[in-house]
Amino acid sequence: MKRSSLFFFGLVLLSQIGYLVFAPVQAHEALQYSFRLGMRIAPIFAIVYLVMVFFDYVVDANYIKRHVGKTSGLKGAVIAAVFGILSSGPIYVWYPLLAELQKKGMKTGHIAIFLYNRAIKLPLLPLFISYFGIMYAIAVFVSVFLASLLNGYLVEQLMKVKL
Amino acid sequence: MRNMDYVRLQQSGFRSLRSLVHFLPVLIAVILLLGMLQSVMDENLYRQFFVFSGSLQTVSGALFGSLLAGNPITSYVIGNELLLSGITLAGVTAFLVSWVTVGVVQLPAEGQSLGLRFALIRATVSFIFAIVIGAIVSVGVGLV
Repeated sequence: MKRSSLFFFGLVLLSQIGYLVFAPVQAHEALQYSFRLGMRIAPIFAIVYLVMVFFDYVVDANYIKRHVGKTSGLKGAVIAAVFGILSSGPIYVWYPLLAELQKKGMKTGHIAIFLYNRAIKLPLLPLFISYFGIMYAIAVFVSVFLASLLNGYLVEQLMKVKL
Repeated sequence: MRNMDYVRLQQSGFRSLRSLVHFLPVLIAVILLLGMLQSVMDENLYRQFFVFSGSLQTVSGALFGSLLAGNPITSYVIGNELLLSGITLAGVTAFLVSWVTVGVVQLPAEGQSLGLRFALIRATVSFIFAIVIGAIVSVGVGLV
């Protein structure tokens, strides 16, 4: 476990304790929200765990490299985009899986494409349309999809720049 | 063969569990942070964030959305309220896009799993793209 992670955890924990001391009512509301959020994401976390076990057991590094690795090109980008769109739950539950895929050779740019396409939430599309209209929804989601490909390319290139 | 497969499956299970356990403190911290953020945000604060007018609201929108996180449905509700209160479509679009693509709150978690350099570069590029998408979409929708 990284020291920086423990430091961050400790910092947030201290903030929460301070919040409880100086603003107990709001802090209590905050904890209730966090608890409800934790309960909501627990099943998704379990699904992510099963997907991780599947990928570790079934999918080897060569498969990852072939389909979403450095030489996968546009095909790999589209695969990453589609899986990003299909993934559900908060973004942070997917980080451990993406870290494993990264170790197995998934292209950095494709990871960025996966994360960016999480902005397209198909199950929430009817709700989005009811708030903002269908033309706006189409404009936003098409823009996000196209931007994700450029986003992935730029992130990949910027990661190569030596500081 | 069946025994070897079971052993491999068990090893996969342990490896994956270890990855998740390493990630757990950061995940808990992000959840606590989201709770604290949620408790201090109210309607008046949303509108006050958009102090600039015109095209600069795109930057405000992207900044505001980047700092917040949570269920996207919340961003739709807030976005709709912002539109009704007179915030530009470009500003609201940048807000909606940055809410799900940037996420300052989860940066530590992303940095821990995927590398801090990747997390910072991706967040910066995504922030700029939220502004660009906000501008493009509002012009495009205006033309239709």
